[in-house]
Amino acid sequence: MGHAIETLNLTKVYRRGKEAVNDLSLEVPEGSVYVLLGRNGAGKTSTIMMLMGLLQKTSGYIRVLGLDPDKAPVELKRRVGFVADNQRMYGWMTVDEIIGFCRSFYPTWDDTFTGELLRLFELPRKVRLRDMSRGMYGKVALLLGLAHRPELLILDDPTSGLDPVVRREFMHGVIEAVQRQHCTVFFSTHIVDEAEQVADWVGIIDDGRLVLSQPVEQAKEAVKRIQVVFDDAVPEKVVLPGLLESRAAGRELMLTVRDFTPETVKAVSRYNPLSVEVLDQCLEDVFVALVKKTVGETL
Amino acid sequence: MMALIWKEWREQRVMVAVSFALLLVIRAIQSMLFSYTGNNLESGSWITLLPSVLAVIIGANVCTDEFTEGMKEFIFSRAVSVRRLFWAKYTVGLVATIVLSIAGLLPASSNPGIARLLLPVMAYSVAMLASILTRQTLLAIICVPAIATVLLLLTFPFIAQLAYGYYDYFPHSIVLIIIICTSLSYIIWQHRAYSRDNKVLATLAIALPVIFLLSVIGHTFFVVLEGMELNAALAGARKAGLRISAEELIMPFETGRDKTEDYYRQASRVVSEIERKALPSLPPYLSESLTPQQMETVAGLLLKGKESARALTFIEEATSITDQYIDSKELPLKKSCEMDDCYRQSYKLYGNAGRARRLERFMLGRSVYLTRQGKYAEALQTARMGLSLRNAVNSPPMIFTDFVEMACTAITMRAFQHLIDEVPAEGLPVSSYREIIDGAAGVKREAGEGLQRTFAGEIAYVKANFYSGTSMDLILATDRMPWYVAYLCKPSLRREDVLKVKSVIRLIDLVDQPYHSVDADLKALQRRMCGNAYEGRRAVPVLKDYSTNQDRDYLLNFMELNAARAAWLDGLTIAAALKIYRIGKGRYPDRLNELAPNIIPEIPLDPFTGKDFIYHREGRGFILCSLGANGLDDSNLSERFNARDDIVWRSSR
Repeated sequence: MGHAIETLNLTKVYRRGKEAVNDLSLEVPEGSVYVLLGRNGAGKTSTIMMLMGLLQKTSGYIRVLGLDPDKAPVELKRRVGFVADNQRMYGWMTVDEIIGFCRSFYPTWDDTFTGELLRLFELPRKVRLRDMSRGMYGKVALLLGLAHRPELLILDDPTSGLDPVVRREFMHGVIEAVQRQHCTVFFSTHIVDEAEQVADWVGIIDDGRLVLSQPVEQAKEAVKRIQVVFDDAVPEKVVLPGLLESRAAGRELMLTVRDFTPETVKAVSRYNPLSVEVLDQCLEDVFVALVKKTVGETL
Repeated sequence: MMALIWKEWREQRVMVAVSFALLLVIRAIQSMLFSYTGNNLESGSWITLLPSVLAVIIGANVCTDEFTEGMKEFIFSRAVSVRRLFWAKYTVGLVATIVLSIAGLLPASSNPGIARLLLPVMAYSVAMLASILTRQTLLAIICVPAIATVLLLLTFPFIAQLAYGYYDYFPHSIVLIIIICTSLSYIIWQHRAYSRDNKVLATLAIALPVIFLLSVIGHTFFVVLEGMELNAALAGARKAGLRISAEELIMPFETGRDKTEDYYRQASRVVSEIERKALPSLPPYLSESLTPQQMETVAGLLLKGKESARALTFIEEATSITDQYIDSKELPLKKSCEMDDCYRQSYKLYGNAGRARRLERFMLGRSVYLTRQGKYAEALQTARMGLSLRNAVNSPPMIFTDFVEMACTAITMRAFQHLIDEVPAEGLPVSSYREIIDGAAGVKREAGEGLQRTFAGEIAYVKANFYSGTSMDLILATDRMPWYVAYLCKPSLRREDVLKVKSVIRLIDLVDQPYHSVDADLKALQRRMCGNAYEGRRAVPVLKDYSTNQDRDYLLNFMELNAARAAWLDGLTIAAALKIYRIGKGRYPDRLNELAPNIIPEIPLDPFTGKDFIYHREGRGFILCSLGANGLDDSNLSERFNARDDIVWRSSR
């Protein structure tokens, strides 16, 4: 399987020496729904901007659909749908007008599909964008990203600032559209549960570094929480491979580990616990555990 | 591309429409005034700057939206190149600006020069650069004057223009600034589109010195070019044995400034210099051994070094333009475009006039020399060449001709004067004197047919200038316009302007009539014009005051010149007739009327007074005198040029 997006040692250093993206090597498989998770300011937007050719990279290698964003920007943008974080459009245009404006840039623009999307998103054609609610506005942006049937859809935190109902509607819109379209989706967010519903791959970025990039299920498998109960006092120090966090409460010790294997349980057993229970993690737990770990490291 | 243009148009259309409407309303008012009064709004005032101001507002609005947060991501992530986005924007604004500029020039303008179209484009380009730099419309508008000033200072030739009056370079500077602003806008646009902010300052830091360097090089190039021409001309002059300063060579080409008084002094100095040289010790090139062709070659060298070939053809050129002009019908007052042609022709001829003046001086020197040598026939021939030269060059309406002509007519006629004064009556055969009389009659006939039409052209030119060009003051003066409309159109109108214009209208009425019959009226007008417009200055007789504003005195001077020309020709006719009388009777007559009808059919009157020329015998000779514009006998006055305007023929033999 090929990669829709491929970066190698991608780095962006801003003017004042701030490293927004640090040595990022990312591979997004074709046909996947890839979510890039990260806290605010982790480097998600900078990464996406570099992928779209809207920000100049400091160093590294980028290929999006096999194209270099610096060398073939127009070709790349023709094949990619993009919705930016807090994207603004010309408020004086109506939905019809902005569709007319954008369609001229894309030879692959699909009018039938546009009509379907308009119905699906329940968008009025004659209303000016400045008079629309945020949810509607977001849907227009999504429509403009989808209507030319892109091979890759890049969404930069598309639901930020939306209320939960609209957010859910939006994500459903994405899913439904993508199901019809069979394209690769790459999107960033810091709201993990919505990502978990739709994503099949996850990447976690923190402080400009990619700390994890796996299929969602594997990621959830790989990070486990182990509840260990001792009969007397909890050992002062527990040494485990891939230990991310250890928290003691009375006789109980809660361990979070990554790269979990049955060997991990055996290693815990060496401390003679009363009981050992392995708990499944949701994606949010995985995210928090990994990000916390790196925060701890940097501190 | 169409979608981009559509979008830009939608964004700009309100502004453009409002601007366009504003201009059309102003132009409509102008047309209305024009049909009422035959006059335009002041074409050199704030109205001509209006398109530039509107262009600034359009330009300042062009590139502000795209770099706001969220918008940049939207527009630059569409499948369209950054370059195309920029040029679509630039083009739509540019077209709007050009349309506005044209609307600003229509329907009537006295001089829609290229600079007036370029100026709004420059304003637009500067404003666009400001909008990309500041990303805020209002801030951009505020920054425009500062940026424009910096660029004007950097385009060095502009300073040269201000300092030296080389207005020819003005469009060069504007074009340079347009190119600079557009290129910088494009570079910064690209940087911003790819978020290469850090390079904007670096770009500016490199670009500004480069601009400066380029304009210095450009300016130096022009200066060197002129310097080379000048050096060649000087070398030619020196080779010809004449001491002539660089200043004197540059002079005719310096049209942008009011240097008439200086010029006049300089002209008289050159004349006396030539006279001084010509009389006691003539340089070899003036000797009789030179053929006319050689003479012209020397004159050519004197004129402008390497350009001697051109100098030789200028008479032809001037004559053909004159013919064309005379053939064409008289300048229609309300067709300013034709006036422009006239203006351009005049401008072109002005350069030739400078050359003509030099040739004429040369002819004078030669004629005087030949007279002294006793070669009267040749002297006559040379003097006549000088006269024809003057006529050829001077016939089409010319700017600034008045002072030049005054000086030069005098110079050429002085050659005849020398001839009459010096030659003993028997020195030339009767046929030569007849030739002079016929020649003068011929010139007068020309004046009747050609010159009068040409003068009519000059009057038309002045009228057209007043009616369609620069003087909206006429609106008030014609009394057809309510005062508030006029003040609305030109708030800075002054009382003396109104008086001045009223005077000019009166002058235009008077100009066709004989000088002596309107003399009193003219003097009253002069007093009024001097008294009002030149408060604090002494009220000198304007006809002789070459330092007063030449535009205003143009007609006055013209009338005087017309009369002076007639006085010279008529006086010459009488003087030649006197010589014929002397040959026949062995003495000069006691009274002039003895000459008619045998020698000449009738005795001309002094055009300045409407009476006989003053004539009396003096020893064996005679004195013949026209009293000149002041109508007074100036023989007791000093010989300062401005004081003495009598035209005197005095022969002792």
